[in-house]
Amino acid sequence: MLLKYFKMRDKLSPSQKKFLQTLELEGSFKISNLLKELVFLGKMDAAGDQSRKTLGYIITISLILAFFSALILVHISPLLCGITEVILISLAITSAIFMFILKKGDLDNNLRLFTIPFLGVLKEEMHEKGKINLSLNAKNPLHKSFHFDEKLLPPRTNGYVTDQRTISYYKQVPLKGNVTFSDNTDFTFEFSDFSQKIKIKKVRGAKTKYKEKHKKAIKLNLCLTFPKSTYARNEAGNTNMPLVITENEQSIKVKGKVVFKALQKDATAPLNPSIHAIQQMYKAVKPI
Amino acid sequence: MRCDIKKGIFRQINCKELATQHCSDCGISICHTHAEQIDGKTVCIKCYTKLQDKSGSRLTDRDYDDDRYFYMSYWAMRSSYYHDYDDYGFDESDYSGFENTSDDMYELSEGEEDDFLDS
Repeated sequence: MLLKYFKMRDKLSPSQKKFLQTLELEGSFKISNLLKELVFLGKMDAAGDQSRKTLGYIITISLILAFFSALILVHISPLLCGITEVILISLAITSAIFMFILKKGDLDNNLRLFTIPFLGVLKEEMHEKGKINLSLNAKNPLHKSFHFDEKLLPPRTNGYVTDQRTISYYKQVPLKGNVTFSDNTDFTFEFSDFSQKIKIKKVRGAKTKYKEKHKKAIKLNLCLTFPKSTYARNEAGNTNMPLVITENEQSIKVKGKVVFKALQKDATAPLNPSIHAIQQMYKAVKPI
Repeated sequence: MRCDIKKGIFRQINCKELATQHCSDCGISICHTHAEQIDGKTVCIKCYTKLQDKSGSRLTDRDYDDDRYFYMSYWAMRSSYYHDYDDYGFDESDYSGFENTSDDMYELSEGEEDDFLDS
C-alpha cells in the first residue's frame, strides 16, 4: 500500500500537486475533468491513510519486540541482542519517518467520503460537458486558520472535583458552489463545518485529569432555482423539511437548510441524507 | 434502439446512447457504458450492483481504472440511497402535459434576502 501511494504520487499532475500544497481550489471547472483529478487524489489519500495505519502497527510491534527481545536475548547472546535491537529500532524509526511524510500530504476525510461522491451525483444530473463553479477547502476542520473564538468557562465544583473547560471554536466552509442541471435548474450549495474542541481539566485533590471532547455541526444551505418553462409550483408537494419558496416571472426558488450534528472530530457530512434533502426540495415543484 | 438505463437521482433521465446488448438478468437493452461482466455473463449496471450487494463483495475490491471505479461507486451509492429512502425522482412520464396550477404569487417574508449565505 505504501508503494502504491508513492507510485500514485509520482503520477500527479501539476494542478493536483498544487492542490496538495494549498489544499484549496477555487474557480470554474468542467465537472468531468475536475472529478477525474479529485478521484485520483481521493484514492491516493485512501492509500496514504491505510499505509499510516499499517506503519502505526509496525512501530508499535517493533518497539514491543525490541523491549522483550532486549530482556530475553541479552542473557543468551549480547551480540544477537544488539543486532536485533538495531534492526527493530531502525524499523520503528524508518516507519515513523514515513508516517510523518504521509501525514504532511494527508487530505481531510470529507473530501473522499463526501465531496467526491456528492460531485459525482451532481455530474449525473448535468450535461456531459457541464461546468461547476466551486470553492473547495480540504484542510482539517480544526486547522488553526479556522479558529475564530475561545472561551474559558468558570470552574465548576461539586465539592470533590473541580471541572474547568476551555472551548475553542472553528468554522470552515469545505465546499460551496453552483451548477446548472440538464433541465436548466440552477443549484447553489454551501456546506459549513462548525466545530468545537472542549478541553476539560478535572482536579480531585492531588490528582489532575485532562480530557478532550469534540462537537460538530455541519450545516447545508441549499437553493434550487427551477425555470418556469419546465416546472410549476406543486401545492400538494409533501415534503418533510421546512422550505422557503419564492417565485418570480421566470423561476421558482426553493431554499432549504439541513443540520447534521456529531460528537466525533472527524465526522463527515452524510451523503444519503444530503441527497434526500435535495430530493425533498424537488417535491416543491412538478414538471410541465 | 436506445439504452433503457435511467440515470440520475433527482430526475430519472434516459441514457441516450445506442444499445449494443441486453442484460442477462432483467433483459433490458444496454449500452457499453452501462454494461458489466459478472460470472461470464453481461448484466446491466443496476443488476450488477444488486448482485454485488447479495454476494457481500465490495466494488472497491475489483481492479477498475479510476473512472470506471468511480462510476461503479456512484451506482452502488444510488442503489443504497433508493434502498434507504425509496424516493425516486421525476421521470419522462412526469414530464407530460397537465392543467396549469394556481396563480398565487408568493411574497417575500420579512427579513428574507436573496443571499441565504448570511445565516
